[in-house]
Amino acid sequence: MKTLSALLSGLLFGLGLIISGMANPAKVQNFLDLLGTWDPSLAFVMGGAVLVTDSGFWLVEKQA
Amino acid sequence: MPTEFTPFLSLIGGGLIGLSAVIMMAANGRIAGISGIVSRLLPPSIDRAGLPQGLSFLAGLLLAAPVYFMATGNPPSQTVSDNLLLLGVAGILVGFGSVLGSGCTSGHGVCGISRFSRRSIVATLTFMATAFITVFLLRHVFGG
Repeated sequence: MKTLSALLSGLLFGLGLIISGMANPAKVQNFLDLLGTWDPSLAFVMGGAVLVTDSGFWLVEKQA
Repeated sequence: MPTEFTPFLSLIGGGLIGLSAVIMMAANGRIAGISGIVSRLLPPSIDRAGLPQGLSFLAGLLLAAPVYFMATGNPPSQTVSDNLLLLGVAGILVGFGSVLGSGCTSGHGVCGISRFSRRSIVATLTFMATAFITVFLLRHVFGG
């Protein structure tokens, strides 16, 4: 069971990285290049991830 | 080289990463931190009891690219150096740095910030700041 949930979790994580563009190192580097070819996408990835994780962890803790 | 700003896809992708972290916490009681999971697969900090779930998380992560390709017909877009030696050295530095910092963007950045962990917030601010400085130096001071 834990093996299966870990597999699903890893798969979702990887798909999230690809869809968000974060599997592309060029996008990450451009987030860090404020004075050059800046691409703010990473901030949106972080925002989306923290939003879901924050509410999800809260639910998990409430049930525990 | 410029990359396209993708606010919507990035938000959706971020949400999937969040969902992954929630599943890992709810079903496995673990933090979905890539550097932590990978470092516990190897000596010296190998976690034998957690090996099956660690390996299957990694397998899922690596399966994402072929699954994405089968679903969309397009390979994930990537721009990386063709210098394999440089990539290898960079990979080692990433691994070394994230273990030294007790976590990376996933463990500290996503999971830690979501738990309002002061340690993770400080870690994330520190590695983001040093990353901004590194890119500034490499691209704008020493040329690129």
